[in-house]
Amino acid sequence: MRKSPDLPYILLFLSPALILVGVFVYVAVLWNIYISFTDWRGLLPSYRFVGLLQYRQLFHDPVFWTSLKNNILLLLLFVPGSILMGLLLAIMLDRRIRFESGFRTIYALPFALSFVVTATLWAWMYDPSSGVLNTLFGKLHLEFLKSRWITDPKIAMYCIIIALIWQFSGYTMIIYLAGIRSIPVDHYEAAVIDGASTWQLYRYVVIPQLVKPTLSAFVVLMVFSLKAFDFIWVLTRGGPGTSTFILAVQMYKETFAKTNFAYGAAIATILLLMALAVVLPYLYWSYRGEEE
Amino acid sequence: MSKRRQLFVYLIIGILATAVVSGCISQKETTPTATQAQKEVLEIYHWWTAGGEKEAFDALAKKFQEKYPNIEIKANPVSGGAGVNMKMILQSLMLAGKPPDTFQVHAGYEMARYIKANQLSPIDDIWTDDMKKNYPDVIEQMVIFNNHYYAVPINVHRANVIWYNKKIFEKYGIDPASIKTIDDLFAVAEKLKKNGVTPFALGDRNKWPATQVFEVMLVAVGGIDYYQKFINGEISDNDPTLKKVLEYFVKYIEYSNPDHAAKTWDEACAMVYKGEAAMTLMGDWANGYFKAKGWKPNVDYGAIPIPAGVYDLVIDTFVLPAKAAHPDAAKKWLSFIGTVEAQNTFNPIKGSIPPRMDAPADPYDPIQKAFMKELRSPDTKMIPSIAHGSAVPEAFAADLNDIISELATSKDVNKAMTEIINAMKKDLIPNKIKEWKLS
Repeated sequence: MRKSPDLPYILLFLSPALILVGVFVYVAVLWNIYISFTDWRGLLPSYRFVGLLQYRQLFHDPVFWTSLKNNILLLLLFVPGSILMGLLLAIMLDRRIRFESGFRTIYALPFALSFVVTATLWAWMYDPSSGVLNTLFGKLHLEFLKSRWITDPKIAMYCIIIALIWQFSGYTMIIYLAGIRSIPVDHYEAAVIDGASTWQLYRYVVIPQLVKPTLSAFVVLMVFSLKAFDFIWVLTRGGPGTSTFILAVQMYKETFAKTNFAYGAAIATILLLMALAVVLPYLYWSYRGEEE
Repeated sequence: MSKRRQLFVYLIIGILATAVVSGCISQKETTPTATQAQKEVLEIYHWWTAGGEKEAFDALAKKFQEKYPNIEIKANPVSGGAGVNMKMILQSLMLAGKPPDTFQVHAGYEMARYIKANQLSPIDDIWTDDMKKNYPDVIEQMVIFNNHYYAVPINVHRANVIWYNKKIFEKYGIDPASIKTIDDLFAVAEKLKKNGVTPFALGDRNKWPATQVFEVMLVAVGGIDYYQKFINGEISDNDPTLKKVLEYFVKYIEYSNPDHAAKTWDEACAMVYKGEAAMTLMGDWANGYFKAKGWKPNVDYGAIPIPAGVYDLVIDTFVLPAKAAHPDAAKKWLSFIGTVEAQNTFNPIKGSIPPRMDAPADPYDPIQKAFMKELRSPDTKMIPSIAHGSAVPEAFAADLNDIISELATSKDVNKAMTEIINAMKKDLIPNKIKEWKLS
């Protein structure tokens, strides 16, 4: 990094933010990790050190494995799903169609809505008797497509994933559209002169240059998938039973409904580790990219 | 000055500036104005924010202020049914050592988290002989922990009521008076189902309505003694009665709308209102719902307590936090809550009934009058509700919600049995701080 003479001033003006973030984020994170090694159960803190007891209990808790499985499902389906949908939308919009800005707004709008709003909306879509989906299938005489949706523990999690992909596709679309538009025009021209078809143009010119936007989208979506709490809470409360629990839901329940603070803190720590496993390689990669 | 030292100085200045600015802000908030200093402030937290509830609290606060003009009520309503959001706010206030002067909490185990942490003061002196004489025993028992009184109940809600659409009952010639036991109820359900009518509307998206059905089955199948055994955590593995209770629960689900897991309790009430289902098992807040829709009690709809002679209690109370800033004002509030005057100001608007047996019944509707009569009858058995946090430790109630909600979709009785017994060992017995005596 270049040594700047302004550094003292930068630090001076940043210090309130640095201090606040330091105390309310990093100290809080460390405190949470510490709590996960205690036996704090109940309203008031207990700081008796019990080692890995909470973690050992967690690994024997079937609900934990359900939650973890659902988190992994989100990572495997929601993240690539949103990326693919966004890429597809961006490529379609990039064809210089008419009313592009109109379409862009329509596709991006879901991302601007809060989870609480979209979850309520999807609850109406998925309602088995009066919901939009089943009514529509009924009207179209496609009875075999009717389903119990979010009230069926076997498919409820997939319903949530589809709704989340819907919400985030607009966001990845914007990232990709910006990425596609930033590719220099001469790259296209060169490809066209070489006689590339549209398919080849995207396959060999556009997509290879979208690695950076993909990685940013990837990291953001991963992090969102870990905290899809509000969406699930509004849509299903983790139900039926515990079938749509994710770690954040279980953490909330243990901590605030059952006042099992140490146990909740252990779940939160595992969530943190999962987030770090995603973010650290990304930071490393982007930092190296800057240095080169 | 070296470069490094200079940096350090700048950082220190930054820290000081942050501290001064934040100090100023908080200073401003805590300086009382002249008028506030003269009046004593009473800070109250409650979760009555919906229509009707809010008016009821306002009327109560107004009555109190007529009596004590020198006490200024600072009410902090926190929205969120059953106080889910308020619990978290209270928790942080208590950890910070700055609880409100009094707050609303359900009677029974919901108070346990505060009592175990020594965050509530006993209020034995508030409970005068007059109050002890006029409150039913089980209701008193619900606010006593370690032989001390901790709260004053202001209302009684009832969780075990079947609400029915009169038009549908008349159409199929069903006599509501003939329904006394759970088997009577299922006989009627069978008749309705044969005629193509959905017997029960259920909406357990928020899980507790299913637990409420479960607790009604528990007392309907097992009786008071078994209910007492269950909430005291005295059920052994493979208990045959528990199995029967769960089978009855599944039977209830099979007579319910199949989309129950997507609906909320009020959407289930709407099904009865629209005639899409004949009945719904819900607390007496459903009464308020139907009245708000313009239905007349005992004309358009009726109420059948199930099982007859049992009163499943959901009770709101106020308590005295140990570190309350104005305990004298709070004690005046609590004494006031325990009077007939306060209870009959609040309850007719809220849609609940007064816990005091000597409160006049005139301001209430015919269904409430019938409930009051039943509450005061010596033959009526009272039970604290499980689904509403009174009867069992919160940790167990939370687990039970998940287990029963899953049973409602999977219908796997054996799995639910094992899970309930496990949860009882893990979350009920270690957290037990009182022994219920219901019979």
